[in-house]
Amino acid sequence: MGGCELSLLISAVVWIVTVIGWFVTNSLTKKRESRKEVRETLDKIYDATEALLKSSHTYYCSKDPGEQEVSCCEIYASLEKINGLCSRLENDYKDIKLISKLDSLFEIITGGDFNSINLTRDSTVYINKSKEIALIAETIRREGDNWFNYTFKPK
Amino acid sequence: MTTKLISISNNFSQTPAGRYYTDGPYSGEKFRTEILYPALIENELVKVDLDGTLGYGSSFLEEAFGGLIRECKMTLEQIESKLEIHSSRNLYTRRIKQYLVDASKIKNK
Repeated sequence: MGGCELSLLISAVVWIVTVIGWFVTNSLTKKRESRKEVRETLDKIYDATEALLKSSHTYYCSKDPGEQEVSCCEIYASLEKINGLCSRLENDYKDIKLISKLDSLFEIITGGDFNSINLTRDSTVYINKSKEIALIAETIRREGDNWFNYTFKPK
Repeated sequence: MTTKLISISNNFSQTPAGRYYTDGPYSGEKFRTEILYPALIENELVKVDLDGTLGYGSSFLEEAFGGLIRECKMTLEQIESKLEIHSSRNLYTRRIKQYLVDASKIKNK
């Protein structure tokens, strides 16, 4: 092989390695960015779920009409926020299933006598509902974290 | 084709709440009985806008929409051909669709 041809071959190999390296680096960076974004979204979902639990407790247990009204608004806002976050996540990643858990929370918190003039506000009456709500919130966190660790596990 | 537009916030209440008449002045039962069902009977298409309210509880939505099948004896097919629901909050449209499907399944058992 002549010197010229060898030089061309070396250049070609260097180019190929550079391009492959660029693709690999780009891919790793994208994956790192996605991982960070998804982690942030999941943390926002968990925070909003915690807020929902607190608002729920206030709504069903407080005797103060002002607090009841505010917590009702907070419940609606938290549900919509969680819905938006979960929908975005499920649009991008088809294998995560949190929407069904959110729907269960919606049913438990806003079903029954929610917003009825007949609602009895009493922490002892609320106790069973609060256990169910806490269980679903815990399931959301556990399933979210399991999915995240599986999807973004180091290869 | 006769079309009726119903905005819950403008034509009913900005704070719809409760399932039955006994639950309060703006219940799901009242909305269905006095506004939604008559509109569906009288028009070929009814568009319901859910926006503009504080929010909805599941009791209100289930009674207002699921009750069309359970209480008013409409079929899922009739409702799907005549009713359009508009909302910027897809949590509610998703739940309403589920209530209609569930009510239809129970009715067909």
